[in-house]
Amino acid sequence: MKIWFLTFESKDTKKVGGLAEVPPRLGEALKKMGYEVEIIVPNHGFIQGYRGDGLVRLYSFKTLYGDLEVYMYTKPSVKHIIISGSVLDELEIYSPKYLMDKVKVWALGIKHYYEVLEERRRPDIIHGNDWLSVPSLVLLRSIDKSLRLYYQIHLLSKTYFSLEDVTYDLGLDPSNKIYGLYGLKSIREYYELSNGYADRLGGLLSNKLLTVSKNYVREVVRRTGFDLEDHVDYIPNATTWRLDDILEKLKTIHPEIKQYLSIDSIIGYDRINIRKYLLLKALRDLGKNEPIVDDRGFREFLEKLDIPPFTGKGRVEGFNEDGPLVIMTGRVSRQKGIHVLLRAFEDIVSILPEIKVLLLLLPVWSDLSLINDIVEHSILFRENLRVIFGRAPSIYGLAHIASNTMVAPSIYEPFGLIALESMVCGSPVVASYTGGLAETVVDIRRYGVIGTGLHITPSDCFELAHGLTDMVLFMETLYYKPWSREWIRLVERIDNRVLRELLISNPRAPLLVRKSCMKRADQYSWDNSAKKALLIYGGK
Amino acid sequence: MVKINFIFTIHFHQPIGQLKWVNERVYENSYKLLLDIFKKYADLKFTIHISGPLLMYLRDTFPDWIEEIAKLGDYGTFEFLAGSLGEAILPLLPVEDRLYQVKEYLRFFENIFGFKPKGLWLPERVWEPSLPEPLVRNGIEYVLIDDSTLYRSGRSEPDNYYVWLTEDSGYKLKIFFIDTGLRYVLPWRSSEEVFNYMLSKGSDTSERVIVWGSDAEKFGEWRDREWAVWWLNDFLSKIRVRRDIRMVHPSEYIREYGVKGLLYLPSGSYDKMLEWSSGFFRNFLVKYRESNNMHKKMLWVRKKLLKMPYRDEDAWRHYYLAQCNDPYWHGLFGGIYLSHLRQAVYENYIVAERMAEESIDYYSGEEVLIKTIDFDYDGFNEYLIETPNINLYLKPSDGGTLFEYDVKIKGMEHNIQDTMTRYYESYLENTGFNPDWYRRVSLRIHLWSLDTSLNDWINNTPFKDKSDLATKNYKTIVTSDKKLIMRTIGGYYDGVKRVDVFVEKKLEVLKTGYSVEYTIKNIGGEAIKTKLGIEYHIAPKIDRENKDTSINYITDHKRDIKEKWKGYVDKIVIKTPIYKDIALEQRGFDDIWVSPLNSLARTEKGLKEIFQGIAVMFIKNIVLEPNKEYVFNVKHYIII
Repeated sequence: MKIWFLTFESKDTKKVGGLAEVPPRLGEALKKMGYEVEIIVPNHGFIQGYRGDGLVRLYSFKTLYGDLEVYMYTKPSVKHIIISGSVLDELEIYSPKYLMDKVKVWALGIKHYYEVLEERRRPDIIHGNDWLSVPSLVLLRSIDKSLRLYYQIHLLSKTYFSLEDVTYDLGLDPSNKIYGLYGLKSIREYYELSNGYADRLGGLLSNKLLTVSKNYVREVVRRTGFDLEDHVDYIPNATTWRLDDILEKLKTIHPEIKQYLSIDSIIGYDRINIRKYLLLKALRDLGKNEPIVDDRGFREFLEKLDIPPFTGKGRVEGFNEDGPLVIMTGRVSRQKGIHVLLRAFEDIVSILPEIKVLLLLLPVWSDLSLINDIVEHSILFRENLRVIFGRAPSIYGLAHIASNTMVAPSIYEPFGLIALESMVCGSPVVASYTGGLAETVVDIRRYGVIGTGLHITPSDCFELAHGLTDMVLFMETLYYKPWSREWIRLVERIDNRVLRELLISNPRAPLLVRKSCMKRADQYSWDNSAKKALLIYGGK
Repeated sequence: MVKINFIFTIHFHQPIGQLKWVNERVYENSYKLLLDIFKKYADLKFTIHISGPLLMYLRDTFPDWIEEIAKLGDYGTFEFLAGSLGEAILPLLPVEDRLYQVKEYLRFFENIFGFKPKGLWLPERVWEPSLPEPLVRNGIEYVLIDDSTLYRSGRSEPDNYYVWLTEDSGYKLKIFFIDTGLRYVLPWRSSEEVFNYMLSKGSDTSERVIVWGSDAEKFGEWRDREWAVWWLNDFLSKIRVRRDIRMVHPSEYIREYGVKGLLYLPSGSYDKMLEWSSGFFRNFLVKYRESNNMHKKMLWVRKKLLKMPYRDEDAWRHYYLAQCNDPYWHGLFGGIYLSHLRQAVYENYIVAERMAEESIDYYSGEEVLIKTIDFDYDGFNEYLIETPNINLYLKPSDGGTLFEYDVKIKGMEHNIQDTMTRYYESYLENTGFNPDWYRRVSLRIHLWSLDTSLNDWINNTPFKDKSDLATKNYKTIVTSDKKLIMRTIGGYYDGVKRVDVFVEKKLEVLKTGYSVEYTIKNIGGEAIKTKLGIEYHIAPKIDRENKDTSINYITDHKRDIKEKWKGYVDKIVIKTPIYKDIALEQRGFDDIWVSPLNSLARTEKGLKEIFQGIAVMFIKNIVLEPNKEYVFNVKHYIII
């Protein structure tokens, strides 16, 4: 069986968010099981900047939008097909300036590529990811009614297409008949059934509408329509993070703390030494050229930002002292609840003045006021808050193995891969009770030491402030001798009675929580996800 | 023949903290006069209420007057009404306090007069439907409220000429209604006109009752004594012989005629009060932040009192007296604008607070406590810094300002930050008065335009402050060594152009005060030429005993508090013989403006300036260069 994944970003070519991880990882797992997989991505300037091998030009076509080229990129473990040319060569993946054009040109490229292939080389399954792949699915459906199409929503979109977007602009006649959930109907009819809403249109034209967690299925049905209720299923995401690999990598980047880079150290007392190293030194001495920011405009913005704690070019001062560490990763977006964290920040600092919060964020321009707000908070709370915009590989893994806890205050979150990444490193997560986070994170207040974090109500600053500081204090007790004066003081500062009692009955509870986190993360493997995918595809 | 019963109720009240010479004057002008009248017409029936604070004052200062009043009570001339110990607006208080305010009044009254009254005078006749329980549980059977409250329930005349029953949670209370029309004619019109008015409300069955209830000071204090004596003699000598108007006591009326039926009333007060408060007394807490400040101080102190291992009557008495209503609101006359009344409120709360703190070992060995709570219940957190000597309350959301600075040292109880904002008042229209656009408290930062003068600042000339820093929301951090840091980024506006300015205020607690280090940094990339101003307000202690006590401030030399001054010194000291010197020390500024801050208040004798505090503006004429830090320091403390 041959499977195509259509994805707008891939970790092996261009990455902004979590989506870039999923198709290649799922593809790798399927490939291991003997299936033939290709990942079809837009170029986003990757080819122009690529200097390695394994990149071959396959075809070129002329389209309404100019000349397009198809490359095969074989360096990654799963083969990538890169569609390039015209607007697809622009670097910024999601720039609103040309996003819709990119989506359509990419769709045309995929169609041409499909058509040029001999029949036996064509895929049996096409798995589109997120609304960006919907025009491609419309095109493919219109040329091959027997194709098995799957459309997976990683994050519900707010995009509505015009009829032109999915017909004339793709060279399609709206009266063309295509197969979908309601049988053979014209594209116009399916368009009207979807009211132009991208995710519903994708759902109507696919054999199965997929998402990423059981909890998010409800949300998907609510948004795409109750007539799709029996049509929806999910393939959970997973993480490829392995603590061994992370530690090995860090040993080469940070040889000075080599003695602490072992699993035993991460679970036990020595974790505090990694934290001190990160907060006082590594954060200040980021790797050369870090943080890496693809967006030129954002790079210019960071270049000039030199009000302490920023020191220009996106770099920051280290903290002046060690303190309990919270990390947050992900895109700069309100969906991630960063604004909720900022709103709660004064309360957090007021409850726990020694707290240190490190935000490792991938910048997207869509919300300038949020970026300004993050910058302003970093300036105003320079004893407690640092933000790195962009990728900083030298400290990304380090922050995960140094932190007391991760915070994921998402307003909604289909899956929330970052929670698993944190748990792999033995760090519990304070997460909103929403989507995948409601499943991956197990609340310690309810399940005791088999828990992996705390749940809070999305958008609730009060709960966030108290939950976060409680979790941080709970984990901080690990660094003090049980029943010592300092240990008792920490326990007394915990607001939640259940957490206090858990510590009093077993001062080693945080250690057990660390182990529970690691175990929980193990359950979410790509192999398991691939098995679920095959069940859905009905593959053999 | 048309007949009517008439209840003549005289309410005697002076607030806690009233100036000694005002009390003495009112006593001479009014209370003595009334006693003479009561004695002369002892065969008539008067209903009187003496408020808790005044009763304490009269018992200690004019015991003979009290004795004569008690005697007339024995003779049956008076029916006494109870009240609340602090003449507090009962619905403003926590439920238990409502009970205790009345209980304590009754206890105090009984000690003097030997019995407990059955009726009650509601302070400012502020009624809310939950009042029956605390009153009835204290043995109160009836209250007098205004007919406007009855009309708000949808009823109309002649229902207000009967006694009605209401209940809450099964607690039954009888209600008399004070007649608004009668209050407007008695004593301002001739006796005949008053009689005619009363009879116009009467009936043939003689079961109706008309109630007059108002201030004693209307006789002798508001207008001249001679006129009051003449009017009362005329009125009472005539009523004495009338058969159609029968003066009665409330209890007597209830015994004879009973109640008319059941009714339920909405919240209310007298007609003018409803106008001033926009229909609901509690609105004063919203309009006047200083009123809310006192009210929430009450709630804060109460929490500490409740933690005391035993009920310390002395501490609670200070607390109840601080609930005295007068400075919590404003109508036409002084009220909240009278700084000596606010001063007394704070003194009492602070005494109670200190007693509670000592009793519960509040500090347990800590020198400084810093608490984050929404002290004023506006949804934003405030920071309360507490030491055994002082309290400093800061409001980050209002420009990072200090709004309370209590000195708690025994004998020195005072809120140095008890300064007053001048609000819009309808009677000040067309007087050239500009209301303050921010609360007049301390630590506020302005970036003035270069032509700004001292008078511009005090008189609120518009658009002189070119930045939004004065009212910005500040983010707050408490350091491990108990320093409080407030930071914000604001804008300096030159036309439509904005330049970002970073401000940090680092506050350190001193033994009897505090020091603030201000860091200003232009982070906007373009130089700003401005008059940087940092504003302080100080409430010196007012001598309530002696009219002639002066308040001065020393800059280059000693100046009267009424003087404005501009110049340069390192230190300003505010002096009054009744309190310790209050000092302000500065570092880094090049000009200082000092001015009294006066409000304009309507009194029975016209518009009058009332001293609210001393305003100080530390000025630095400066060019804020991009990315350069400028540091200033101000210390504020009492010299012990």
